[in-house]
Amino acid sequence: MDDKPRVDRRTLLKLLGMGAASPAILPHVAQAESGLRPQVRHGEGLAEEVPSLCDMCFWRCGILAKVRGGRVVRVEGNPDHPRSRGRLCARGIEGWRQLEDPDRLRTPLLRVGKRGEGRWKPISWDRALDLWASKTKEAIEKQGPGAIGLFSHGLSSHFINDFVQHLGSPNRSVPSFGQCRGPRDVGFQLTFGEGPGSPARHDMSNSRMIVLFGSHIGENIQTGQVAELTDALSRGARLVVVDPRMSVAAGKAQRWLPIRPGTDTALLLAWIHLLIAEDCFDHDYVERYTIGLDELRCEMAPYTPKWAAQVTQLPLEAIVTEAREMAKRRPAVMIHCGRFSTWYGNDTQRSRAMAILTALLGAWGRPGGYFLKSKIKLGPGPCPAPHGPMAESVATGRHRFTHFGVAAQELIDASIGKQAPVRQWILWAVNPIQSLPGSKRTREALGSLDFVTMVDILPTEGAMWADLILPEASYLERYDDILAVGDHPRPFVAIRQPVVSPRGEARGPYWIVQQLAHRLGHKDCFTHPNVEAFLDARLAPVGIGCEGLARKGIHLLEEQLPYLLGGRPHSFKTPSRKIELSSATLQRGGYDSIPRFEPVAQPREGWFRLITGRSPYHAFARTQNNPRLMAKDQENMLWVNDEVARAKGLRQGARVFLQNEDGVRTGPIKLLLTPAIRPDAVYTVHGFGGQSRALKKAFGKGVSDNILSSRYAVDPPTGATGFRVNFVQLVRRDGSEISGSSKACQKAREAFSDPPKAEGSLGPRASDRPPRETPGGTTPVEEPARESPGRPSTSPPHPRPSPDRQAMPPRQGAPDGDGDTFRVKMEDGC
Amino acid sequence: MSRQAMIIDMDRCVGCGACAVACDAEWELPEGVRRAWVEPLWPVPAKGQVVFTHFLGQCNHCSDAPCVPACPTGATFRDAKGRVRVDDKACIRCGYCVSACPYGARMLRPEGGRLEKCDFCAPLVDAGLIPACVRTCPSGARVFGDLDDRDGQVARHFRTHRVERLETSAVAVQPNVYYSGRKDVLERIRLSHPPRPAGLHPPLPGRLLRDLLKPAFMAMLALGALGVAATFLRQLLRGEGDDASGHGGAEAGPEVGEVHRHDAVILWLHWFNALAWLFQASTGFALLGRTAYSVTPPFFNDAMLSVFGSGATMLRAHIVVGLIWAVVLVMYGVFGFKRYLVPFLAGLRLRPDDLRWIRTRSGNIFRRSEQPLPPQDKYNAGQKLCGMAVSLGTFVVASTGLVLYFLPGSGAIVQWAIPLHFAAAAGVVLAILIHVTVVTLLPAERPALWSMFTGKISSRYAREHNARWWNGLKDK
Repeated sequence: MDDKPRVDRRTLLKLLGMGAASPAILPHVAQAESGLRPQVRHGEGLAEEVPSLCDMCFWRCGILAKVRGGRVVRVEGNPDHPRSRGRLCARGIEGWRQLEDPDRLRTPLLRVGKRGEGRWKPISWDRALDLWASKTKEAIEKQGPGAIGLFSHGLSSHFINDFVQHLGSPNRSVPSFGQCRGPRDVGFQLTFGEGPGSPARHDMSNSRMIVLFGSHIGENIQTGQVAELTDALSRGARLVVVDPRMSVAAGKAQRWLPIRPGTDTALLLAWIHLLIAEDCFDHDYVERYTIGLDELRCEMAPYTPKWAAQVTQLPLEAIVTEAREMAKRRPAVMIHCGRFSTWYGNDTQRSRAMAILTALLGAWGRPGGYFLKSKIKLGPGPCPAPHGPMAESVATGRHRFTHFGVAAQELIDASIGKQAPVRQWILWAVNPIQSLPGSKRTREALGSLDFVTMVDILPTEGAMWADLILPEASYLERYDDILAVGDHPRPFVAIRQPVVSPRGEARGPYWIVQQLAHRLGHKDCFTHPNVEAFLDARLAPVGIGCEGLARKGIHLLEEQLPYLLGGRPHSFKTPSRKIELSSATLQRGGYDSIPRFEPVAQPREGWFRLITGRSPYHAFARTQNNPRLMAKDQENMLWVNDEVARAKGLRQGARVFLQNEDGVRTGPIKLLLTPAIRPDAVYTVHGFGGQSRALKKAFGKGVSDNILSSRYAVDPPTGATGFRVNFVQLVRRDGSEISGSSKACQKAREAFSDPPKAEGSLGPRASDRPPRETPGGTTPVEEPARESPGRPSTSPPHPRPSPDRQAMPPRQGAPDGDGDTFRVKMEDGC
Repeated sequence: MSRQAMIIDMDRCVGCGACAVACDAEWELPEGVRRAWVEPLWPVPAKGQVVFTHFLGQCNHCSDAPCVPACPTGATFRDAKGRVRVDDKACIRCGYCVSACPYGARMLRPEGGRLEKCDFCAPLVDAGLIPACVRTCPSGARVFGDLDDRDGQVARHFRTHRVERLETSAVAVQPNVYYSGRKDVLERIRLSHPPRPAGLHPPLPGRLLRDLLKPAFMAMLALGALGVAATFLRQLLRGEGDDASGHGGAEAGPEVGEVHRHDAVILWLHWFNALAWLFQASTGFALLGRTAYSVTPPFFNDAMLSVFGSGATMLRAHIVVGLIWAVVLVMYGVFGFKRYLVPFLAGLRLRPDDLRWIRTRSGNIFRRSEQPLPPQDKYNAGQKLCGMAVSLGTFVVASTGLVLYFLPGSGAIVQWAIPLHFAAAAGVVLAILIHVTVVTLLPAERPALWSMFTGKISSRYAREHNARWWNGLKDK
């Protein structure tokens, strides 16, 4: 196979006995071949069909929008899109209704009342942009470019990010890092030299075993991912789901492991222990590609399955069996890295444990595991490099591995008070009240800033606090930066283009940022007169123009064979050029080079851990004003263990209130009593409980888990904020507890012990290095988690700046890290 | 004939609801109306194991679909590809089929809108596309195709999976939607969404029509036919002259010419009415032809259908003629209120003599006796009864017809209008049959028949048969 490197991927998979990864059903579409806007059937007549990209989640499925008389009448999937293959989820099908949302922002608005009061007057774009530019100039003159803080999200924010960086402000934060996938990416990057990608490079359809940690694929829906999972299952893949709650995926699993919340790392370490102890990891792969096995051997010795069984409250037999199942099926084992990974503040190390397990199974770069990234070269971004040095970052230095800009809470902390270094915020498609934890402090910051500019489509909770609101064109009305996907065996570029003209005075992101840049005198930025010309230049290296791409929506590049085939040598982008089972980079940063189990606070009697998940009908908190999606799923329910409920005298469908340890109370919320959740946790869907009165459909429907997340735990390496550290009580309207306890309740809260001190290391090549001291005081913490930015016991709060700073991820790049980025790729440089 | 079928693979389905949303979007259904739906079956303690799955509902396109016979107009039908479909133009929005679906898969749009149900996206599939739900399903859980195509996807799935239908011994309707998946999952679906045995039947008014009115009408029709046959036989045996002379010749008086009995308006109205009834009865009964309420023989229904081409055209003709007829009758009632309507209704008043007349007359017919008859008004008692039945029936038929046409989708009102419409029509049809039989087969009544063409009747006949009226005329 080595002498024929250009084997077609399908053939290869067949040779490997994997079977072709063909979709079960390939839908066919009636689509004319020529013309920018083909005519297609719709209802009784015809409609124009325009390809573009969905924006309801990060998957960015290809869409075909049917347009008649300037209005969207239907959105279908684009079968040419390699990730979605013509499929769309409920949100993708109905997302276009946002266009006609009567609550939409239609003109620029200037605040007239007090900040947070929600009173504005419409102003012209000219006045709005002049005001924005003058305020920005003022802040830069007074305090330098660092006074501008930016929170941003999504493909449309590439332009503003590039420009704020050009201005010289490093004080940029993306919730998609610190409140979502940051720790996951960093953990993998430290191990393999590159993150898992976004969407991750899961080769799941070829997996023979899939292990999900809290991932509830199906409820949390991305079309291609669901297809891959079900394809794998239909081919007989073994599915193991680790989740305190029985998710839909768990319902399909061969094994549901209802793990004690916060102890996932214990399970992962026990599995690593087993693979080493039973000597069933992939020797050849580990020898060829990794370093640090000996150290790992030592460190893993104490994490026996027996100990893990007690900590995780999972059956010992299950832990052992599943490790052996993995070994049997390697390398086609998918240790799914998930996406939302900011849970308990120990998340980077959990991600590291997943990565190490993946490496031991030889699954990185192998069919059925993670495939490798392909490169796509695009033309330059809209702004040249900053002219002067970057302003000082407000990052505290506590978090050495913040991939992108600064951690959200650092930016918030640096914005509170009149002497704060950050004086202005730009909120680009970010709703900080709903998406950042500790909304009290966020409000404090919003209250004390000099100027807040918000660019969004709907008047969200965050918009209430803005001084200036700019209406952005929705995803069906604008061009965004090119989407270049290298995280797929079939790399492709895709375009988001307007399928209808913007409603009201909404404008696209290129124009908005261009206007600001030119008003600030940065004529070297956004030099192309319009976004089409810019995109033409961006696409030049790919060999297709903006118009050509707009006609098809998708342009496929050459199919890749993104695997480490036949043990071919590979240089990983880590300092050692190998997969780092033990990370010297982490150690130099003052963190553990090999993950250790750190217990997190467990709830006391009467308290429950609040865990949250997704509804297939909603995208975060963004779709609750969509009438059709809201009609399908109107409110969230609270899953409570039925035995617990019996002890408390609660009935199915009754409503209770929730109160956290800070006295935040919300409700009422409808109960779902079920044996399918652990007795020490309650579960609900995120995104409900809208607080903005301007969103008439979303307001007050269901309960917001976000306001109950008044505390958070900071993940030391990344500064990401773990959301699952708040505990809640079930209370009545007046706040009195609904009491009642049961055996199940007490058993779930049983104390567990430290891992036994290791006698030695695992396996034959034991080094004589004594195992590191395990964290002390692992008895369940009787008091609820405190808001603590770091964990002094495990990491020094202020690690000294290390000389090999460049070994760390650069603090530049695109907000999402997916697609191509303007100058520095997020995952380069290590 | 092909047999289109769908398999829902619950091993693959994640319950994301994209299929139902795509269906809503494809057919532009208003909020609250659905053709397909997804309900979570939460992992709550039920019988058997705790499972977390979903129920995917839609029309099951049963081979033995109870909705088809429940439809009173034949709008619901199974097409050549085995799909159960609704011809919107033949649908009167009565909702009988909604009650008659064991799966709750049919729904009327609010405010008289059309009936919505899954038709396997027939317009798309017939254009070479695939159903919207199948196309969008992220997990590939819906398998669609021709059950009879041995190499098709459906057949392949059948060979490799265990499939079940959502059927019970009580509801054995042979659905063409299949479910495959784990046993406990299918068990949960079956327990939570069993097909409703009640769904095998139309609602109460429909059952009344099917189980009471229809058999009653058939029985009376049979009785009537027997009566006609008997009369006919008697006529054959006795010969015409016998009756004519025997009946009227007892007191033969001098011929005094003819008297005026009906004016042109009445003549025209009579025959217009007769034709309208003939047309409405035949189209009406033919519409019921392929349903559970059918009272006419298949050859008749088929002939009618081939004349009109489709049920929808027949329904349209029935409605148009019905409306014209109703307008004419209203004009008659309004413009001829004093001149025609009041005298006509007054003329229908029954007197004590009339009852005796009926007794004697029927005695004469059946017992072959020749009792003298009591004197009669312009219309004899038999004609009066017939007139009454026809008038009342006309009123009920016209008003229920108007309700059906103008208040579609109004629930109970429409549902009850149907058996009333039928009952009234059936009553009138029976009355007309007797009326026609009597005037054609009984020679004694024949002059009355001729008078409906000429407007005149012989004085002698009038004197003998309508003594009271004759005397009244003489007095004038």
